[in-house]
Amino acid sequence: MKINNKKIAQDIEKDFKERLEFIKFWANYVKTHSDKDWSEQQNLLINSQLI
Amino acid sequence: MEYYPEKKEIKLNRVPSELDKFVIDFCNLLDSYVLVSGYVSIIFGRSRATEDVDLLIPKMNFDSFKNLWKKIHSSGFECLNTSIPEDAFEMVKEHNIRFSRIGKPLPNMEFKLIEDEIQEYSFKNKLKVLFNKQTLYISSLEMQIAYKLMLGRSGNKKDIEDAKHIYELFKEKLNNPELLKLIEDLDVKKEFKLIK
Repeated sequence: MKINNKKIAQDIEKDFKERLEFIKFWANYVKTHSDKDWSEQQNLLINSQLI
Repeated sequence: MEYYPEKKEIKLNRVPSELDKFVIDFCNLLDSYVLVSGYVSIIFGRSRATEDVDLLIPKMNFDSFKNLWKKIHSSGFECLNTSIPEDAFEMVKEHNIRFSRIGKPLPNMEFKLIEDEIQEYSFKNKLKVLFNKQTLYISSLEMQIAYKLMLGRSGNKKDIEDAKHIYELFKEKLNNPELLKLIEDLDVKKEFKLIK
């Protein structure tokens, strides 16, 4: 198997930048929607890990 | 959600998660503490979960620790490290100890005594979060951002993301001179550029 480590590193970097953009998008959603709205969505994630 | 920097207060009307209920129930047993690290981002909507919550407590003598120990253990919680308070008191001087609801190791509270300047700063500059008629005390947002960037320096992107979430959420109301000073003090200018 030929592994292009340089491309993998570039892809990881691109993915991280895209993740930071999503975090900006989600923080803006939290700012512009009711606390009830965003917390119900977040709770699906949190409660599924704990219950 | 409303942040009042001059009052050091944030009002939140979120639906509490199971993690929030755990944190509230435990923190209601404490006289003095500050919540730091991942949970500070999560309570404000960061889209991830955690199996532990970091808590800082001022140093105390053994009598005070034992009284707190008894209160914790009579309130449905247990220490995951030891059942002997003397041993727990020795351990907590060296490393964190963990408490959870009895028989349920997840989630757990990572209990640390305040030791260094970063922790002292977090405690002295804590914010009050009012939600659902409950009160929780969290680290200052500026220190939370700088500290998470410092942790992210070791390559853990989750910490950079936590810092980004807090920054984006509160950037219009942050104390920017204080934030920049902390960025300088913790040597995270490069990491700060990633989230600005």
